[in-house]
Amino acid sequence: MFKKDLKQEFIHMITRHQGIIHKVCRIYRDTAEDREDLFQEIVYQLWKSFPSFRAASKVSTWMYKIALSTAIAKFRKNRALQPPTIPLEGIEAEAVPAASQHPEKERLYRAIAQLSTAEKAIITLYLDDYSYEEMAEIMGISANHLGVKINRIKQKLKTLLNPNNHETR
Amino acid sequence: MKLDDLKQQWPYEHAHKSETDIRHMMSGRTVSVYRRIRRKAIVESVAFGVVLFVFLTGLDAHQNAWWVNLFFTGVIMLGIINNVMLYRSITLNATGAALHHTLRQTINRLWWQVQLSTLFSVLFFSSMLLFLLARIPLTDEKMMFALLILAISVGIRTWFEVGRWKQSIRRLNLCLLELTSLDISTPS
Repeated sequence: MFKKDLKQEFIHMITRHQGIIHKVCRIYRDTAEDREDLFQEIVYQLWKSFPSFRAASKVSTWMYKIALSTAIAKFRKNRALQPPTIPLEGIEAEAVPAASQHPEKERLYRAIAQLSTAEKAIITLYLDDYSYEEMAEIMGISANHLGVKINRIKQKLKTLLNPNNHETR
Repeated sequence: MKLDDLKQQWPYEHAHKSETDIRHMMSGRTVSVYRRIRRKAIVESVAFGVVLFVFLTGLDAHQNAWWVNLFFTGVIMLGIINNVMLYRSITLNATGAALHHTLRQTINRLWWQVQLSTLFSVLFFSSMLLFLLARIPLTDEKMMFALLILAISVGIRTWFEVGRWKQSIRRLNLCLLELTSLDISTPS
């Protein structure tokens, strides 16, 4: 295939599936600037590995593998992934512009931001309604293991969102 | 809001990039982290070139044995090649393999980079000392002093190089552990 055709096919594919990259950026970076930068990095990595992509696996699975590994293997100074130090229950709407429209959703995102790097990868796939088998293929771990992990992450999020309920139990 | 509510809205949780934007991103020139590493690699490579030029033209290199000059030139070339390899290794990171495998590969590559940098430090400072001291008769004391300077120089550079990558290696190792261990991410 000519490079021009390959390029065009790639652009169409990314345009169609770009939601995957946006979601990974949303989960792994806190600021709009960092998200934009990660988006560009992922597109570049996808393009570089596109010639070796075989249709044997789904496009979305392949994209998730590269997007997640790019987000995790970041080679930058550690500022974007610092967990927020503001307590979840004390978030002011002015501090997060998007929170003024969807404060509950923003709280949930803040809680997700406090998960570990691996947990974020799992929750990103869970939110996209992937089956355990597909998630296992992307992550390279067993489906049973994932089931346990997801339950723990849900529990952890619950605790992060309602710390008082957890303490009184 | 619960996690499952977010799951319902998740497919619509994104902005849109045009084909022109995507085309522009494919060059990789817009990625700030790559830009920074590229700039650093270029500056270092130019500095190596300047050092080579100054040593070979301004420090009586013609009085040295041919192999001393060749060794010094070879080591400088190795430094430039090392920079190019580092840039390629970081900008061509994705393989399309499962996350667990990619992380393992990245950690190995970073360790390889640390080892290569340490080896380069040893060679660079050795070749520099050899170049400068080749024509000077050295007593045992002076030789010890030269070796001490060599050890300190290598130590300082290695300290910085390891420090540069160890944070990334530690973070990736932790992530790998979390993926494989059931105990490490127990809710706190």
